[in-house]
Amino acid sequence: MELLSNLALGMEAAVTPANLMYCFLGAVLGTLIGVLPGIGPTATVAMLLPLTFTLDPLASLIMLAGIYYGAQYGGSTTAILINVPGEASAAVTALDGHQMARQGRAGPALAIAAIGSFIAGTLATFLVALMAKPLTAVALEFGPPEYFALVTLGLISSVALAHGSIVKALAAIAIGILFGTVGADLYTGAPRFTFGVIELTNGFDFVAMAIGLFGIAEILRNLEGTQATSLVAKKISGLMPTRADLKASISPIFRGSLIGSAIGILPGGGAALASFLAYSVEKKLSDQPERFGRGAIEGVAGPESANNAGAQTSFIPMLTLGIPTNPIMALMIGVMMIQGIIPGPSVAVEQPTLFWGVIASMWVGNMMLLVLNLPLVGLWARLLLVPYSMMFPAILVFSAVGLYTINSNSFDLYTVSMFGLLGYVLYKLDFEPAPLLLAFVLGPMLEDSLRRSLMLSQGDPSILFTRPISATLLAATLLILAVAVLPFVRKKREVIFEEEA
Amino acid sequence: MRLKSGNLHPLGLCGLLAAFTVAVLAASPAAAQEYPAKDIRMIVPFSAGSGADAAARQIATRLSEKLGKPIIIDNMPAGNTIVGADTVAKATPDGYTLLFHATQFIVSPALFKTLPYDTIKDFEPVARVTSQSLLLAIPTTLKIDNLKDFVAYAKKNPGLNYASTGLGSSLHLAGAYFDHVAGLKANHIPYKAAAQALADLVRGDVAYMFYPYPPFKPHIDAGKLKILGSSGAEKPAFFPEAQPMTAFGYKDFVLPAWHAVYAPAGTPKAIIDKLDKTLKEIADDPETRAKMSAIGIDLYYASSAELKKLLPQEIEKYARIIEIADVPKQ
Repeated sequence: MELLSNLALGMEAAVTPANLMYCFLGAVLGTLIGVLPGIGPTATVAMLLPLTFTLDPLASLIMLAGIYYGAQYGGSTTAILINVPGEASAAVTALDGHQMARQGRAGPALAIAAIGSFIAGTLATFLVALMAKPLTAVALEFGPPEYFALVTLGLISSVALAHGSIVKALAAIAIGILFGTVGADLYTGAPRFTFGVIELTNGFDFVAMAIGLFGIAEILRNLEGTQATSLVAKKISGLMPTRADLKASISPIFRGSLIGSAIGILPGGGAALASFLAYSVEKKLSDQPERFGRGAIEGVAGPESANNAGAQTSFIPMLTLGIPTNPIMALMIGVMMIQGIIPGPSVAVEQPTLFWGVIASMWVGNMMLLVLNLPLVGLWARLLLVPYSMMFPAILVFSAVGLYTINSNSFDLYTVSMFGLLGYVLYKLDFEPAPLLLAFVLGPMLEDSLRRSLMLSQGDPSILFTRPISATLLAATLLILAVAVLPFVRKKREVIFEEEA
Repeated sequence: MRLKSGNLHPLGLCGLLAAFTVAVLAASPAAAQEYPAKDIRMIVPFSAGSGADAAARQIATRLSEKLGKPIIIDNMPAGNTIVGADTVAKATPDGYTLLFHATQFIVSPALFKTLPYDTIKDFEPVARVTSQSLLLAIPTTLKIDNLKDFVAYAKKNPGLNYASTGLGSSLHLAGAYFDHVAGLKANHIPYKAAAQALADLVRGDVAYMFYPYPPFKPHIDAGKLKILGSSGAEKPAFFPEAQPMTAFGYKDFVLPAWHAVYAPAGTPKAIIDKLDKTLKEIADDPETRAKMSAIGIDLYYASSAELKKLLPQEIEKYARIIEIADVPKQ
């Protein structure tokens, strides 16, 4: 049992008092910055980088990894409580999580997010231990045509994010894609929709957009009712999930973990995509899809598990190939290189303690987060009872400060204000912000990967259909489309059968 | 300073706590003393986690140790580095706002139709600190092991793809200039994320790419990539096997990426001199050299005066390459 002995070796290294402490420190710090909207883990890790020079490499990685997945926990807390997703992946959690909070069920929502993340973390740890090598090989096979197919799949399933009018969902997706085109064109340098504003050459900032569309728009909505005194209309009922809640969540947690683990390893940055996909899958599989967006616990369990699993599996390509799947992994590579360790296939062989120690520490860290977060659930939930007149200025200030610290760019504050207003208008017109946001993320990826595929093949579109992974994903997309149309087909068939009978 | 795993290191922890405090508390009021009397803000117009950011943080840590005041790194990646540079151009020239910029600083004047600042007039060069050789890598699936054969192969198969991290990036310009001097016809494929470009190179979807050494290393070790040459003037210390392009007869192919520190124009000469002198000490420090080498960057010092002379030459050189590469003005 090589796997067990490897994990045992890692565990031994991860549970020394010092490493446990760094793990705890990272996890707590991560939770804190996750709770403050806008202050991202990337900035925090970058800030702490010089301090790791004096630490042991394993201790550095354990602490920085703790910040990373701790932030995933913390980010969902604000998404659920005040509808401010601190991170791309938490935007989905806000959909049903915040509805649950408004119904007085913030406790179960937060608890299930923590439990789901823990289970996902555990599964992902074993998956990393078991399949690091083969999974890495798959990740390397993902070129532009494969991304194109994956994103198409994601966009098609994103229609499921909306509850209500399909036409409006499609309109929101179109708007999102258009916002995604803003900025200098990657291939020609031509500025698109920048109107001469230099700050727009890199496009709109995702976090600013998410905080605006969700958080700020939410505040505007709440201020509409003159009598709004606190966020929760009803009494807070039960802090822990009921047996029924747990039963409803268990399958989404496992499905979310699998989806998250698979997408997390792709170098194209999949955390947001993973949680969006997990949400779509849950909604598709549900008997009552109409509950989604109105406080369905599955809509919290699935995506939360997916983003945590993804956060963990994103270490695979980093450790085994030196390919960073996101900026934080790039920073981790920096940490390792300064310590004289070059990430790559040899790390697991030459530095088994480091490799398995980091992996084992993730499981330990997830356990700590669970222990840390469950008792806090009551405290967070009670926070909602704070009078709204005190709450909303605080949210505004924290969002603005947090956002500014990411890029030190005051333009992002205009962006957040603009998208706050837009979010409010969309709400008034019964549009959903979630498909818009997803399309904003996926639109540029779709364009990039399509154009790049065609550049690689020098204009021959068959590159999209002749590569196995890309062909399979496109076939899956067709299947989903077929399933979506199927009820329609089935009804027709029933009609035909009746006629024949 | 390496510690055995498992040892609790009190100093490391104290440092950690101190850093949190520094990060949370605002700078304390400055006493009117000799420079630096308060925290220095160093603007890095690249995002946290990028290569330039890593170099800046290394240099800033050393500089801060020697000056005895914290240096706060401020990542301002907006607007293709223009916003960050412009912030420094318009900052009070008192030595408390500095700019750490890469090759893009010299490329921008030719790349953009308008800049809100004047690259020469609005800045006081402090010192150049690095030279980063870009290595030319090809996938081993091509079964080619030297530059001469590769050029012959590329001539026989026009339309090979080469990757970069964006239009007008130093990687793109190195690739385009290589095509020019070697007489190749190739397609430039820009990427947003270097990770994807690298994966496509290893897989063989793109045929070659200029890039810093560290990300290539695991793939070289795994036998997936082969290094054919380097854009630096000399063999890089971190990978001496990489011959400079000049060794293959491409005489004026010397295009390393490099980083330098600048201050707003009008910064007192005494301050510039002090910073310049301190940066020279850092450039001569073997420990810093080793740390930078680990991230694929060689220390390379040029004084304020030398940098002042170098800037217009480099701007002119890159303008010529941009013309050769036929990059449209943005």
